[in-house]
Amino acid sequence: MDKSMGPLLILSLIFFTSCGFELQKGKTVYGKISEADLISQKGEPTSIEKLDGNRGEILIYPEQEKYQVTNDVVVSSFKNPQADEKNLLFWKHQFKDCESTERKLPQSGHEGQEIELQCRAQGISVIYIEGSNTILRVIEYAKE
Amino acid sequence: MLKNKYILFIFLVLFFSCQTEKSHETLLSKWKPSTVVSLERKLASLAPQNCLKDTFNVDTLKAQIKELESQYPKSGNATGKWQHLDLASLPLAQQSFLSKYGTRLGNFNFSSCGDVPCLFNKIYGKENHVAGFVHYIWYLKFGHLLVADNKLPVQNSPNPGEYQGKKISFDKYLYSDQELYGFWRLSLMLKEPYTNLRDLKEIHRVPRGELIENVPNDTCGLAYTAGWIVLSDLCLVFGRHPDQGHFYIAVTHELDHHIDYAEGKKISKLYRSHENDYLALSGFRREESTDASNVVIRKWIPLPGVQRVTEYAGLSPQENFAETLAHFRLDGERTKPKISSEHLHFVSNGYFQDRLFDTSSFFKSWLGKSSIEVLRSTLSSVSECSEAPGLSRADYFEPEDLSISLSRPMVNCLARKAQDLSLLIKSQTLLREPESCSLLASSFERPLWDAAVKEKIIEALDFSLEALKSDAEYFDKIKLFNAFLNDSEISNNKFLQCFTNTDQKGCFDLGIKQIVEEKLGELRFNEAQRAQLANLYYSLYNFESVQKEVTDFYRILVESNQERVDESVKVFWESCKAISPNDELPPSGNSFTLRNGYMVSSIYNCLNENYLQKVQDLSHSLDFNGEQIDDEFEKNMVLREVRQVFQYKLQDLHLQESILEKQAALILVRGDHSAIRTRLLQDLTWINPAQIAPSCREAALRIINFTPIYHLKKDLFREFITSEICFNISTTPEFLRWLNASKEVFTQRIYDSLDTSILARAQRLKADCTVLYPQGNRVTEIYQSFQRNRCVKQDWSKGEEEAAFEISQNDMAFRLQLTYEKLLERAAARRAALQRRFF
Repeated sequence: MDKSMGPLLILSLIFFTSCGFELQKGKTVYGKISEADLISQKGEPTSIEKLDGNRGEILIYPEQEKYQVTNDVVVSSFKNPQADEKNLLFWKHQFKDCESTERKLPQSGHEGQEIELQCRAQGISVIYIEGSNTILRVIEYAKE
Repeated sequence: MLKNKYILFIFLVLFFSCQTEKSHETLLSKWKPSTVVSLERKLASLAPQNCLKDTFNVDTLKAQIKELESQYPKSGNATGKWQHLDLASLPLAQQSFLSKYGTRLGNFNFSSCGDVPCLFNKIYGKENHVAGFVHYIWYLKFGHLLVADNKLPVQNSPNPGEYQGKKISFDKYLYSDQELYGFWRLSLMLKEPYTNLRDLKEIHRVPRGELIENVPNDTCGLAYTAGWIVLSDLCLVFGRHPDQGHFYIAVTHELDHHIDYAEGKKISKLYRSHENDYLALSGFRREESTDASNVVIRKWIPLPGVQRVTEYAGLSPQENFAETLAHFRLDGERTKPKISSEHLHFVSNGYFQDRLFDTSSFFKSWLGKSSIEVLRSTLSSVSECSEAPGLSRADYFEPEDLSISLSRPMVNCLARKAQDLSLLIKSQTLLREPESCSLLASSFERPLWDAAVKEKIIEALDFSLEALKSDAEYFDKIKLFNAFLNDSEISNNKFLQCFTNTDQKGCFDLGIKQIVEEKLGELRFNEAQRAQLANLYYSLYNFESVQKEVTDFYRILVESNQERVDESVKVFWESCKAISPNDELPPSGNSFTLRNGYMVSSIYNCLNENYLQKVQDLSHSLDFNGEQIDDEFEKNMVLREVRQVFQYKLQDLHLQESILEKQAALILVRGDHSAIRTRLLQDLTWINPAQIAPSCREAALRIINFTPIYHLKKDLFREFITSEICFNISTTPEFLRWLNASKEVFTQRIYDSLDTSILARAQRLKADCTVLYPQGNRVTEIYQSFQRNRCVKQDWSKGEEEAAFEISQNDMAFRLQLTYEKLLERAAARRAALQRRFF
């Protein structure tokens, strides 16, 4: 390679590294964006909790909105359902064409068995209590 | 001054008979009886020296039912019959019960019964037994059903009488006499908020000798948000004395879970205990995360250094809530030091009207309840003794115990009467206060109680003597105040007026205070008298008791109109069903919600859009025995009740239609005779080689000619598709022939899947490598990026091995003889190309 091309190559690299990954505004791409990207989108969290083992940390925002960051990648979020999202029927409808699965979550105590209704293709799980139609949490992660 | 007062005794005779003119005409004022038979007096006359357990018999229970039923109008709108029973001939509360729970009583020969207790006794196979009365009293007190049948709301077997894989005899589902006593005692102990759990519908018994299905063996009871409680033997344990045992804590604990739901519902949440303030009191934080496979992990982390009432209260905030309330209510004395003062205040103030349930607060409460008796009796004693003191000596108190100097005969006379009164108070307390028997059995507590009673009586005597000495019109005023005191309409109306206020209790307390102060001012009582009489009024008409009385009245009234509600709901349901069903739009709105299951959005949205209007129309059209509801405040109460029964009825209709739809689907399945499977095998273009089973399911769902409205098609036919249509479809000759003919196409598809899988693994690997070589700044990132890529490349072959192994397990790969080795070979050949794509 011609040595005179060197500075041009360096400039090009600097340009690409600074502009190469533009986030879609307001959209969290799970499994893709970094902690810094998340903070630039949502601002500083109100608190951070460390997860045990090597599972990273949880960034906590108001209204119990949480983001899990593992290896500097935002892997999932936990949010309270809003409006119609509070209704289990809404999610059954949302997942009607999805190979959805249901799973009992391990729990402490005898009250209110939590169920996870999961649609991996949409990258969404919702949690509700067995026998109730009220959604407790909406969890998002990378789509499969 | 105290002479010639016998005329005043006449006023006292009138003490409970006066009525004031009604100022505000509502259904409540028109229909609600203003005087009730006093159960306590009946109990006292039955067995003056006994405890509650000694009075647990049919006579006592009948008297209690009479008293409870007398709080409602004698008749309602109900017409027609429940089996052979003419509804109009039954008390309103029984009409209401049969409208609500009549279908839950099963098929027994009820023909000889004339009332609800008898129906339950038929279920028990007994005549005139306590069981029937306790079941009905439970309904009267709490508004839900203490179930006596052989099917639990959640059980593995679809058949009644089968549990834990066994046939169970019916009697094992019924309560023992001791358990029935426990429920009766609890019904006397638990007041608000236990008596206002509107979404709790049924309490079930797990058959005797069995554990609850599908839960850990140590589970004694379960509370379901859907409105049930399930209790097993482990909860229904008594001590040596029937007033002792785990039974009381366990049942109350499960009821407390429903308080948690009800309080959460008020703030549009599932649990009150999950709010931040309670998490801080109970010392919990929620940890939520996902693992590498996106499996959700949610757990409660108990914070160290937080006082909790029991070890079990450390499991979760909702268990903490239930444990704390139950132990606080049933064992206040010992619970107090076990939780923080803030937590204690939260529970006492939030749910128990600032009561503490320790010895001194029990004494205060019991004495408070006898205030009217004491006032009436001391005034009468003063009157009678001033007329004819008599000669016999009495030493219940000494002359110097009174603040006013009196002649010895007068003191003797008052002491005799005071002693009689103290015995009456003590025997009434033993009978009507479920906790008194065990508490007053203590040689330490009993003398304290005797002293407190004596002090109360002397204080009342002093008060009456002082009042009579200083105020010649005192008896006249008392008579007028008593008429005011007997008029429950004043407090009921105030509750109605405050019903829509965001701070109902504050509005009520303030309103009542103003009314009482105005009345006492009008009657020109002095300051001390005002304070005492005002307290007397507040103890009789506190917010919680008035709330319970008024809301029960409207609940029963509306439930007794079930026929009209049913009719209106049916018309509404049919109108929404008539719209061509489709499931395009998302379901929206939560005025009406499903209990469970599914419903296409066109019907759901129609119901929700029109729900409130329909409820309003119905509640405005209701009348009671021809009386329209004109009062605006009263309309709010009726609206609330109608809304609840409307919702339940719609949910019932949805359930019925769901069952019918399932039956129709079953008919289709039975009539299929492999026709759909044959069609699938005739045209195999649906096959996705990487996902044979899912693609078969999809194709089958497309072919099944049935469009459900109350189920998701995939759920309704899941079993049929899995076990019949698609069962071993890839082993059929048709499939294998087609596969052979399309070998090249499918081989390529398998290879494509392999590529995709390798690239997905590389992506995860990159995330790991990013930890080692994080993103740098604009200059260092060039180096970091190089290192990251090298890191990924180092482990690239591991990803190939994993992907090749995974794909080789695929059924189609097996059939095409694409072994692990072959796939690995292919991956190695493709490595450079894939890496170019990846980096």
